[in-house]
Amino acid sequence: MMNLHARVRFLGASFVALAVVASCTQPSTQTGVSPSASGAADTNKTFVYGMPQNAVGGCDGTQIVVTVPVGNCPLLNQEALVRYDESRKTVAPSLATSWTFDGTSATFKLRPSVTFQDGTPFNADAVVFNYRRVWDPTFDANKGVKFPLAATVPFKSVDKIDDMTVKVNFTTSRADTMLLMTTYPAFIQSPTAVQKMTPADYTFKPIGTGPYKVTSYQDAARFELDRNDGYWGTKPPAAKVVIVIKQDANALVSDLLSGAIDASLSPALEQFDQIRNAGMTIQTSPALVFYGANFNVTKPPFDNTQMRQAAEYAIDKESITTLSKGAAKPMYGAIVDSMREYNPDVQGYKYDAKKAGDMLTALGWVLPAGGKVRMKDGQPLHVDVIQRTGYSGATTLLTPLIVSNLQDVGFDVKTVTVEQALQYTPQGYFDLSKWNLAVGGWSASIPDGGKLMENMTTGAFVPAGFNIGKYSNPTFDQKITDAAASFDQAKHDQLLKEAQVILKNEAPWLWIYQYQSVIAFNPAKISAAPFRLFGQLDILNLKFK
Amino acid sequence: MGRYIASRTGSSLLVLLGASIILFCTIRFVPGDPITTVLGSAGIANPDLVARAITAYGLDKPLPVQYVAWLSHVAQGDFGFSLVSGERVTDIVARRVGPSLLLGLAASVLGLGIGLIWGIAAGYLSGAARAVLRAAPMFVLVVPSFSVGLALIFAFAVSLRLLPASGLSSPLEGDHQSLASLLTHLILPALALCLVPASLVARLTYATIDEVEQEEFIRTARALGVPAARIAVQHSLPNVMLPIITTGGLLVSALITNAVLIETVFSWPGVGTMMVTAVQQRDYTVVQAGILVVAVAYVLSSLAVDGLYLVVDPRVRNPPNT
Amino acid sequence: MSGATAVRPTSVRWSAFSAGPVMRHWRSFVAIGVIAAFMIAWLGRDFLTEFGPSAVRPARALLPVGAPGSPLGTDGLGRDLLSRLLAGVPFSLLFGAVPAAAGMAIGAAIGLIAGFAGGKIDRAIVGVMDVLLTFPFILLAILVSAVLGASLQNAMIAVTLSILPKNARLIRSQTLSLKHREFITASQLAGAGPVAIILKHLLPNVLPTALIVASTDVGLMITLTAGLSFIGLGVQPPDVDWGVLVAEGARYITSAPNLAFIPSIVIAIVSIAFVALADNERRRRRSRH
Repeated sequence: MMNLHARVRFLGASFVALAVVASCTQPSTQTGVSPSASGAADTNKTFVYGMPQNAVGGCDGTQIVVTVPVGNCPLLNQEALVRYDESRKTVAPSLATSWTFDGTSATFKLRPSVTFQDGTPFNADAVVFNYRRVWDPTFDANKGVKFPLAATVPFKSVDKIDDMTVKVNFTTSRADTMLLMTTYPAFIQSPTAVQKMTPADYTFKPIGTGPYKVTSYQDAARFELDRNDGYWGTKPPAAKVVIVIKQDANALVSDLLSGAIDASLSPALEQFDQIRNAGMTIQTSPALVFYGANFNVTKPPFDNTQMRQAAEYAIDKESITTLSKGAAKPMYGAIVDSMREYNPDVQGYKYDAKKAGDMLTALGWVLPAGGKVRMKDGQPLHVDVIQRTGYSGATTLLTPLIVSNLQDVGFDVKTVTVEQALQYTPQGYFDLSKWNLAVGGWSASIPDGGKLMENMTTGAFVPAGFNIGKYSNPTFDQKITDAAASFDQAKHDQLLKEAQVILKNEAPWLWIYQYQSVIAFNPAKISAAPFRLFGQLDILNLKFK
Repeated sequence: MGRYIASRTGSSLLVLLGASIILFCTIRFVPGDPITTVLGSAGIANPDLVARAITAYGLDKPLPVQYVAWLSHVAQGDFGFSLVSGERVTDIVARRVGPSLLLGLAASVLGLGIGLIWGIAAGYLSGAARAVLRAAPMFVLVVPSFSVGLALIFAFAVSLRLLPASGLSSPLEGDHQSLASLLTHLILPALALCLVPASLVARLTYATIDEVEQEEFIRTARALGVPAARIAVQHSLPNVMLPIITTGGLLVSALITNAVLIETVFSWPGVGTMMVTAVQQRDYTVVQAGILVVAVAYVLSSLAVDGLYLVVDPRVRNPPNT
Repeated sequence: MSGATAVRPTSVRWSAFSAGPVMRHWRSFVAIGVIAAFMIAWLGRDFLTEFGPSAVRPARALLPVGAPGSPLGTDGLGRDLLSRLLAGVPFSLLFGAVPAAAGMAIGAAIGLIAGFAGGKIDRAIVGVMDVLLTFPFILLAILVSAVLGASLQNAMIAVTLSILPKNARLIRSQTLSLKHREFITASQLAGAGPVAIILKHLLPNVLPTALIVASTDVGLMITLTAGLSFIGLGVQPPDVDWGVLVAEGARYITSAPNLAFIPSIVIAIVSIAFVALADNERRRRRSRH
């Protein structure tokens, strides 16, 4: 079943407005910092894990659309010139050892003595080839291939300065550009390998510079990667990684319990107890994927700010942790605490059903004696909640929770269901006459608060973006725009904190939970299985027992 | 007899053709372009697939041309590509057909056997046992088969822990599955699935036994002391085969319907679960292929059953006035 | 009354009184009683349950049968099973009854026309019915769901389409045997048009069979449509019908089997009631002739 996470990530990635914003430091050089792997001793062990969704599009980072779980394979096999360091929350060197950036262009010094996994050298020619392949429609290697995420990077042109130096020019001057250069479209492939195969074949036999080499790939079934012993950086712990794909999550749990696999991603909620009772460990890790609902601010009752606030108080977000057995973490505002721009003073709407009820009464919506639905001027307080088919895991809790909590404070709630495939179409969520609340999720491809909040600007109205509820506030828009243009990190963060205050007061979205990546693993073999912030398993930092 | 076979085959083919037209047209008339509908408004989930699908199937050509093209592809075994995973549908279907056939055959054999025994018992026993056995088929038909499946799982897999709860094989086995393991995985789903055909067969059996018992010469034989068992074997049973065969189509149809439900309950990796997942994901090419394969299987088995009928009933073989 | 009442001599006097008809019809009364009980329970559901069907109560998750406030237990979100069962009554009953009724109404119409008209019209109709018959019930449901989307209305359409052919066939064969009876020929000679003949003469004669078959169908439909909801092609959560309840309960089979089995038993009971009703009526009719 196509997982909400996959679809949400696809939206997050493909939607231009959800690209990254500045966390980039001053436009200056950086010295070499060891990449990814934390230095855990490399071993001869094989790590086998299971995923319940297929990695659509294969292993070529530039060709994929859905960043997770596919993101696992390209992340192991290929690299970009720069990477995002999650602990330091900055852009760090990868295939480039240093760079200068002035907004409209960036000049990179490439890392010497690096070879692709097929032995060919990594140099400026390779970089130029790769970038032109993805972004230059006049280039041969660009023809006949689609690069769905390419538009997220404001690439204009690339020049070779010398064998180990390239200069990249951008179409716009944005503070977040360096972060964008860490993303998938900028992943470097071996030009020799790319030119030897069709794009459809290449994506199953990619050649990058990364720590793992793809040795076999059966689409929708199984792929295997071997450690690249010629890798320039710190060698990762597992000598071999095997990824097993099975649509049936129950089967993966059986595999885990029987020892056939070492870990399983996203086990079904109902099996957590069974898994724990069998002695396995379940580890959760916050991901930048969020769930809740849009308010339709174009019509009553949620055109009124206080009505929206009342609804926010009505939702028992804390209960989501119990109900989801830890797979979901409550969220109270647009930005979560794992992001740098988080404004801790903006503590949003903690559950308070009584306060919600009082607010509604004050607004004229009164419970008749013995009745369950509030009335005003003879009209019942009715709302339509729209959802889609095909929810799984913690997302199945969303609609029942919203419906139940709203009913408890006196709303009359009707649920409208649309086909998963029609969700973001005029027959679905884009038809504002059908709903007052739209259940949905959104994600960030890089932890940047500004780009995440851009989703709520006027510029993000359909079809440009996913601001389907049509919330619009010019002051808020201005802050987001200014933050995006601001190269000064302190100023950028301050603007975003102010923006969060506006959002808290106006409550355009019903924020409910932050998704946690969940992995169940065998503690006899694995001691830690960390995640990256976007939900990909961080195999490079795996710890064996 | 040759004419009978030819005419039945001919009409089956015509019917299949008609079914394929309906199948093709309904999928094409999905609200909105099916390809883009699946991929959502953003339309860029996998543009490579969209391009492939559109060129492969000439979605811009007139409908009859598309139909002929589609049919010719299908005749060569090319069902296109999955709109969700990009995999060749033929490969997906090939993986799934085996387990479904296995389950279907096992359930048919079990159903026939259990049904005959049940029907014979209902035919010859008396008193309370007779009443219960005769009332039971109707009950079995209305109790939801998926509930029976769940009950079996609960009893044998969860409580008694004797048998596996789902799937075709244990995880450790991979490609080298032992026969014993296959059988233990097969038992519960086959049992759950065989109950509907078994009850249909049982009803036919005891009804036939009742009819046969009424015949003059049978009553004479009984009066003369011929053992009931001999009568049963020599007269009743052969007569039972006929009505079972004539309603064979109904039996297969019921089997197919319940197979989808049972496959779902037991996570059996067959064509049924393939279609259910595909419908949920709007993977039209897979749905089309699944329906076509099952329809063909149904028509073929009906034909086979008719063939059996020929063998069994000499009156059809040599009609009096050809 | 013909000699159908094969009663022992001592009961002969009883049958003369009004208790007699009740005794003969007792099975039907029980069946009707069961169905009525569910409908009354649904009407009075606010009085019978403390919690609504969609009330999520995390603190009351997975309570067992007999728990105070939730006599049948609660599900993983703490929702009361009894309340949800009752909420499912209109959906499940409608889901079963409407296709059976529509399937018979349309199917009978088709069968009457085919049987009476004969010739090319008959052959065409039989051809179309045969094509529809190559799709076992569930395939039609899957096809309709794939095209129109998975919803209650679409599932009802699919189910109606799948029982159409068998009803059409049945009524057609009845019509064929009636067609050549004298009273039909007489009407034709008297100048009655085909519509009048069908409505005034044929329809009343096929009606009893049609009603009995339809009534059996309701029982079968309730079970089959529950199956559709079970695999996700019928009623969509969080709306409730019994099939959805079984599907949700199946996930908790290891920890709370009541969640799957109680709705299953309810489906069975209601289906059996309808089928027993039809069976009884059919037996009575047969014994009358």
